[in-house]
Amino acid sequence: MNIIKFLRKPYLAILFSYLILFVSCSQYDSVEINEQNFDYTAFNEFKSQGYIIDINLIKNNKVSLIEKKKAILNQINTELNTDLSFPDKAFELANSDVEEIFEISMKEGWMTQQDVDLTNEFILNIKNDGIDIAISKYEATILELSLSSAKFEEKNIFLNIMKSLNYANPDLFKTELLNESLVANKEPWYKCAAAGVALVAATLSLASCVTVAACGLALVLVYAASNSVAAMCGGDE
Amino acid sequence: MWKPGKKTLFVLMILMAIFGGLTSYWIDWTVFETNKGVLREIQLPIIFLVLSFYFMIPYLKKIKEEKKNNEA
Repeated sequence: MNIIKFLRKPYLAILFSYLILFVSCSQYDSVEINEQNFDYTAFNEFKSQGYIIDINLIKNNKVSLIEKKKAILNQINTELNTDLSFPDKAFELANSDVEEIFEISMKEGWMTQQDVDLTNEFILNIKNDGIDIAISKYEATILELSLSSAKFEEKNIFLNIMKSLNYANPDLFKTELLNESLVANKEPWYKCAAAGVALVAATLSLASCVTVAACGLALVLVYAASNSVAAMCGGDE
Repeated sequence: MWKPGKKTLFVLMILMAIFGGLTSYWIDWTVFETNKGVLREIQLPIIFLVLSFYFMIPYLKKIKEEKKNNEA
């Protein structure tokens, strides 16, 4: 009976209520800790350290694409004192177009369909709105998806890399440059001029042909030259 | 029908050869790694090369005719 008497004391009830209150609060605290937030420490460190990754290397036509990618990775390893390495298959992707890269990455299990969709949307947003807005939209989409911690960390690293690339090469994601290179696959003016010369010369050859074989060849040349003019001057194949 | 003279044929032949060389120099050889856009790259040099031979044949014929006439 003494025990029951002890339990009926009001201070015990107050003590329990405080305990429940604190336990409840600590639960909410842990939820707040788990809330996903993008962390740009890596990007800020990249900025402060002044790492130099020279993307201009890509423009050198005499080096193969795989060699260019390897050289960039070497630069990164040298700058960051890391020993990152990729399988050769990943380097070979440098020769593929966007669709092929996604297809192979999905086959190899490097990317999921969701990753592909998110990346496609990101690329489209860069083209339409520029890199800064694209990053903001990407962040919002990722937060809405409530991904697992591991997946979220992947996306966080991805955005850190994008920001670092943009910081090191401000022209890399310029909307107008992207549109220029993606929309038109533009050829230099002198190739267009050369195609024009080829068409004129082919027309002359057609005008001067005597035999059936010569005229046939001249016709083929005019057709090929017209195609060439369309490809070199029109901007698309 | 247009009948070009010996000099015209010679000039055309040389011009085509020069353009053929130039366009060969402009070829982006990296496309051969991917095999994409290869035709687009080699199209112009081939056209110029064929055109150069195309104008060379009547030019040589004219020279032969001239030689024959001179001998006669």
